[in-house]
Amino acid sequence: MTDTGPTDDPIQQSAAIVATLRDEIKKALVGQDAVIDQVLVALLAGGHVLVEGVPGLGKTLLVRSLARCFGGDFSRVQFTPDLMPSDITGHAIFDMQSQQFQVRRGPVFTNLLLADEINRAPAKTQAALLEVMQERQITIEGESFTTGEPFMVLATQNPVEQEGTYPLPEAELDRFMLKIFIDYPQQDDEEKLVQQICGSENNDGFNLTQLRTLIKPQNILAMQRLANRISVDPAVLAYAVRLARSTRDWSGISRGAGPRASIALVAAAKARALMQGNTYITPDHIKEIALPVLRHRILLAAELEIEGVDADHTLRELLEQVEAPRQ
Amino acid sequence: MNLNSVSAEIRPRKPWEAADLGILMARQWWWPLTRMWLLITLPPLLLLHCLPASLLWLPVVVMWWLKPIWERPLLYILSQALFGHLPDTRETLSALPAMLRRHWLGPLTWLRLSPSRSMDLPVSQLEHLSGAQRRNRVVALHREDAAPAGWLTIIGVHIETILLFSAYSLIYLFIPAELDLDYFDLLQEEAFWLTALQNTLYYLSMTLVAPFYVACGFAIYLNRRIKLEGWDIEIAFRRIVQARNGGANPSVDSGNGGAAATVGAAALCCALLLSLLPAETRAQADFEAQNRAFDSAEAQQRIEEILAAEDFHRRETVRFPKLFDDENEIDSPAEAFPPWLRDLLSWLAASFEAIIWALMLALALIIAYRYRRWILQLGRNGAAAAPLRRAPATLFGLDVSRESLPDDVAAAALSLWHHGRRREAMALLYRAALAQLVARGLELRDGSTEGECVRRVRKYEQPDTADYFATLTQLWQGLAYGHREPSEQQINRLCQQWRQCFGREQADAE
Repeated sequence: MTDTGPTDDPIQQSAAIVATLRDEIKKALVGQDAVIDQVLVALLAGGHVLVEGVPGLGKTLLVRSLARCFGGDFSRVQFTPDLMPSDITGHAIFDMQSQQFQVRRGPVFTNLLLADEINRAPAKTQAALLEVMQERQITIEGESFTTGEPFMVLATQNPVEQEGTYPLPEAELDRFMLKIFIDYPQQDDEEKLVQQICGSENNDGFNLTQLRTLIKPQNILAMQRLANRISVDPAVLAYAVRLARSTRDWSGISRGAGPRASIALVAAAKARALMQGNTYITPDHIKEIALPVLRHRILLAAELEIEGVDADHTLRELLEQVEAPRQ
Repeated sequence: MNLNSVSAEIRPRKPWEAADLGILMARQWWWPLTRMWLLITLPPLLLLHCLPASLLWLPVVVMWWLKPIWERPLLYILSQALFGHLPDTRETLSALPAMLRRHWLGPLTWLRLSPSRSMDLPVSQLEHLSGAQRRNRVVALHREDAAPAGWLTIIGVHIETILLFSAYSLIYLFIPAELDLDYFDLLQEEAFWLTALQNTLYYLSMTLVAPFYVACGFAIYLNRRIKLEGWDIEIAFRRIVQARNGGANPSVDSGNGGAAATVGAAALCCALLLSLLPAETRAQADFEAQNRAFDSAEAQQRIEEILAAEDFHRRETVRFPKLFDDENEIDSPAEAFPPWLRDLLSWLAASFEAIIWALMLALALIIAYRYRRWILQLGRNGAAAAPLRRAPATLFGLDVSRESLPDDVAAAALSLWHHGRRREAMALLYRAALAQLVARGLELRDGSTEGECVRRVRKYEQPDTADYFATLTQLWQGLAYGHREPSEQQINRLCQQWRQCFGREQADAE
């Protein structure tokens, strides 16, 4: 390539920062580059992420290392069947000394919230996240409080153990910008991982202390604003909307994605463009991010589910057939 | 037989109700029955397990074959217990030799597979009948209500089998999944413990079923006898006599044996029957009874007369709706309608039939349409429908046919560029490059983005061409989506390289 394309300086800088951030997280989480990329996309686009994978693939490690690298606050809530909404958002307690109610803030007042095994909590507790995920604010005793900025929820769920779990309601799923599948690492990656952990002096094996704090939360906010300024050609926008709309009348999909999907497609594509140092988004950016954006927003027709066809398969077919924009 | 001491209610029952009584009896005396069964059968079973390993299938067969023998003590206990005396173990054991001595050849040979075994056993064991007498008796008993006896055997076999397989399943459930057993090999193996386990399980299921089987058969037998011999009537008469005697004990029957009791009861029965007759008849009967005895023919005739009288008959009128026209019937309801109405009705019926058929057809079509994808995939052996490939003349809405392109693409693009139509210049270059690549066999789909085109080109083309196409694509994307024009120098270089990469082929094509 003769030219890296027309770029602005701040965008190049941001791309460089994100690249170092990615390399830093890779030190801790080996062999999950695509997952790291997608989480960074969500971080830059200001979205939330639902990570699905079997236990032991480093879902929690990913979040911890991310929090460490950007120096933000991090809190973790282990979702259990008896978890109450106020255990997440916080509650007002009566202070005997001052004879007044005092608001005790819950773990949600943070930058990165790890909702571990979110589907283990019943629907009412899951619903406690609805407001905070959309509005980034929490209402306790009628008073609204804003969360930390930037704010990002990373929820994990386990696809195999369905006993005693509560599937996330559609409204909740729709609020996650991306649903990321985390899979087993490749042979050489796993070798590297095992070597790294067994060779470490630390007890827990994960060398989180070796990770440097590269940026501050304010930098993330600045990059989010920058990502918002990435230009979108009407044709690309139309492509994103066309993709989301075509899920609604696609044979094999009984319930398609809502308008949030179109918004998320464009927002995530912008973040993706920023990570690559582009000042504009292309259909490629949309297409790259379409699977994680759409896969949790559609409901497959019963006959396809019976056949064992998964959402990704249907979406890939759809992406093949929905016409990409031509100028 | 003392009917006063019977612990069950004596009344004619329906055959299955009688079987139910059997279940109740077996539950009532389950432990004495099972205890006796175990005492009798366990020693021979254990002894049989001393056989060599190759003969270990034998115990099960022997135990099964000797079932009619093993059932006798159970019947003994039941028959005693029903009449108020539950024999203890010693008593049963002392009665055992007598039970086993008599009538064993038939039940173990030609009668072994008789389905009504449970019902017939009391005939030989309790009535001590054998040979032709036994046969006649059995025929008489079987005349009515004997079907459940056969079914009982079938049900018993099934329950035994179910219990056996349940036991196998239970054991299987307790085998940890980690234990990698080859069950097929196991089935063929002749290990002692395995065969012994199989024998034990079968024996246990037999033990569970046997008391119920015997008790049900006995109850069906009993019910048949109650009906045949009118035990319930006898008991009713005795109660009446007891009441008339002011509560004095009639003790007609105490310990005198069945026959005496039956005769006494029959006399009573006649007397009471007569007492129920109208006064004149009774007077006459009294008179005749006093003066002369009946001879048998006369008695038979009188009995028939009495039986033909109204007391022994019940007239019931049963009505049920007629579903179909009876041709023989003259005043059928259809005749009541006038012909035009009948025509109308049949026309309506025919129309409804047609409508229903049409609806069915429509429904089938709708279902076929609704699941067309699924049906098609079934036809294709589950393969997902392959997306249709477009003809490469127009690609992504771009006209990529040769005719639409100028002869010298690079020159045309440069001239467009210099005329300020920069977007068109880039579009022409990109379109022409795509057209060339498609002509070389590049496969593209509707959904292919520019980036995917570059990746495919990298896979199949020379590195030079691929690099050139990547650069071209990037500049084109910058212009199209980022609204950033390439520099003069870049466009010049692009046009030059276009000639190197694609110019020669275009010349060939010309």
